Amino acid sequence: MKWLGWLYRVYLIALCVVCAYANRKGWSVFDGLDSVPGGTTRGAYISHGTLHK
Amino acid sequence: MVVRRDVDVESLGIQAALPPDFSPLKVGTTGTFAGESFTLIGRVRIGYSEGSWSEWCADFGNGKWGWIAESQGYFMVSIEVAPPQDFPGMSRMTSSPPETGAIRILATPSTVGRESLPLGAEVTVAEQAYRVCDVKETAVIGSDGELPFVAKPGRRGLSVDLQGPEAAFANAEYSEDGIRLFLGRSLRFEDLQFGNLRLIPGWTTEECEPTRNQSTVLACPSCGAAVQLRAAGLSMSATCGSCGTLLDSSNPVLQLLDGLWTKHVLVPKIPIGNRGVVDGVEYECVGCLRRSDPSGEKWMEHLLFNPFNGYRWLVYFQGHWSWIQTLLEGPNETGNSRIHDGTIYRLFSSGTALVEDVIGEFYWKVRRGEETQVTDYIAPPRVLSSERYADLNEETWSEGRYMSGTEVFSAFKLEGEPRRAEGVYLNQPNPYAGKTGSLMIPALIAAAVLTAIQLESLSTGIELPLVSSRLEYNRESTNQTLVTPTFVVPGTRSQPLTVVVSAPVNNAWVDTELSLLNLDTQEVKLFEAGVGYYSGYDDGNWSEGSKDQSKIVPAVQPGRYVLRMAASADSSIDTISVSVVVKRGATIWSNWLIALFGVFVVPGFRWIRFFRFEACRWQNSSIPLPAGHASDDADDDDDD
Repeated sequence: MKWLGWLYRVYLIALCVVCAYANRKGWSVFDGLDSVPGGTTRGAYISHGTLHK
Repeated sequence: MVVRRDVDVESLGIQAALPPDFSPLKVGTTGTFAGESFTLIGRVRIGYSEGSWSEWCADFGNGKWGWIAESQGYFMVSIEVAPPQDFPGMSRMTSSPPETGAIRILATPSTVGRESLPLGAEVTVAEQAYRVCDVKETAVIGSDGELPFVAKPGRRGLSVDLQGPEAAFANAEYSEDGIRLFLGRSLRFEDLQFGNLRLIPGWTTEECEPTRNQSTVLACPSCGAAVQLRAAGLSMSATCGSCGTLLDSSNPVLQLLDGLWTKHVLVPKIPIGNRGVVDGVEYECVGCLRRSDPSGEKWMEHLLFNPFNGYRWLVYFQGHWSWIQTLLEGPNETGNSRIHDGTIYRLFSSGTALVEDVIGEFYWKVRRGEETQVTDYIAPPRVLSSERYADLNEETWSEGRYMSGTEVFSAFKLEGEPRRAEGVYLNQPNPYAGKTGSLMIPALIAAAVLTAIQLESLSTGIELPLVSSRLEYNRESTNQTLVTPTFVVPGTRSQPLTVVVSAPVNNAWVDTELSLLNLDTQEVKLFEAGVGYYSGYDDGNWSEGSKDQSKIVPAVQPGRYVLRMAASADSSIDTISVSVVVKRGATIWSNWLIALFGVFVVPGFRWIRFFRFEACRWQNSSIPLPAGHASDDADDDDDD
């Protein structure tokens, strides 16, 4: 069962890398709790002409 | 383990015929004890109610003599010393007239001995503490070699064996000659560096002398069938392979030991006569007995024999195996636990064990229905057992380790597959022990790394204001929106922004729809933020909600931006000032918390399995589960 120990170590490394990357980008595991969804809309408000004074 | 010295120093040169045996020693065998060389010059065979053993006389030279008791493959080497005046039993002696200097016993020697040194009694001799482990009535059977004194056949006495720390050994003999005291040490075969050993048929490759084993095939007095003894001279009982009668094999003429014994139905897991190699030593299965406890649980104990290394046991129970050997010294006592070789063994169970059936031969006169008081102590995969024979006034300690069925089948080349082990055995190694600990080390390292990452994130993610603006909300107005001035998100890579919306609401709410527009790429991020704050009095002051809310906008590319905010408010609000601040950076705790959970969930799961395994183990115990029993530092061992 040594492979399980090594798999766990790989899992931990991946966890650290993902956590560091998410922190740097500002992504939260609890999406919506303290950050907004990453969806974007290209030019949606431009056509309405309301973004520019 | 028993030791006797029944010799008389009055005359020289007596020899008597002895029964054949499998002893590797012979007259002329050399050895070393405590740095001194010796040569065996003769032996005395001592009998007691349940068997017999050999005492070899060792000549150390310069008139120094010693005795080597050979019993069950162990060797107790001792030298006679004068018993101290305060030795148990001495006060019940009286000196005869001074001209002889001899000592006379007022009561019978046996009575004095039994009353002075009962089983378990402690006595100190030469600043060494000893404990009585064996008390036996003995008689000389015969002698061999050229002894410097007479060993009269039939001479009786009481032999008391005592054990001390570090295999210290003592023997006190109470006989018509008074009290004789012998001090020495219990040793294994390899400790004595024997030379010029006897060759044993079937165990040594060299050509063997046939004389001492010619009569290992004896006739059954019940059916006349041949009974071959595999450990002649050491076996005190044997079953006839033909009629199943249990026989007394302590002397060359077999006698019925239990006339009512019916033909055995016991089928050993290891066939009698099968040989296997364990720990590099070859053993032959010579006997097997089935025992049971009052709860009805039954198990098998296979007796294994090697003429040089003595006896071992392989205990089998529902697919579990334990390799057991007798200890030369009892363990130290500490509360309910015992300490042996620096390992603490915890009390697991105590009760009586009953012999139900036997097959093969044994080193004592085993009987059906024989009861033994057994106490088990465990330190998985090790087990320590005490067996107390009330009839024999003897307490024996043995120690062993768990073996998997695969190991046993491989060692003895048994056919088929071992039975799958059922339940959790008392000394079965916990498969989660050690492994949980091995997972904890990388888990702690990962937790430290994650914390460092979080701290780094806190230091680099300091929220720096980029722009702030205020919307004066008016219910009557047709334009409830705000567009901030253009602001720049600096840097070369994407980063989070923090948008804080606040309004001085009280028992009301304000919602905002926010749009973050990248003026360079025309990409828009849409999100909402709202504030609501309520308070009142209901059996005390209360409040809920907040007058501000932060939103983190992730992965914002560097560039020029504006933020549009459209507000709506509670119907109770006519006008209110809603402010918005955009900051660079963000502080996120949820990732760190979730990552820590992810780190410890695996070892935590294994920890639960570990405790469940221990709970199953201790369910079978007659002792309550001890607090803090689950030390998780045991070595990993294979199991089925």
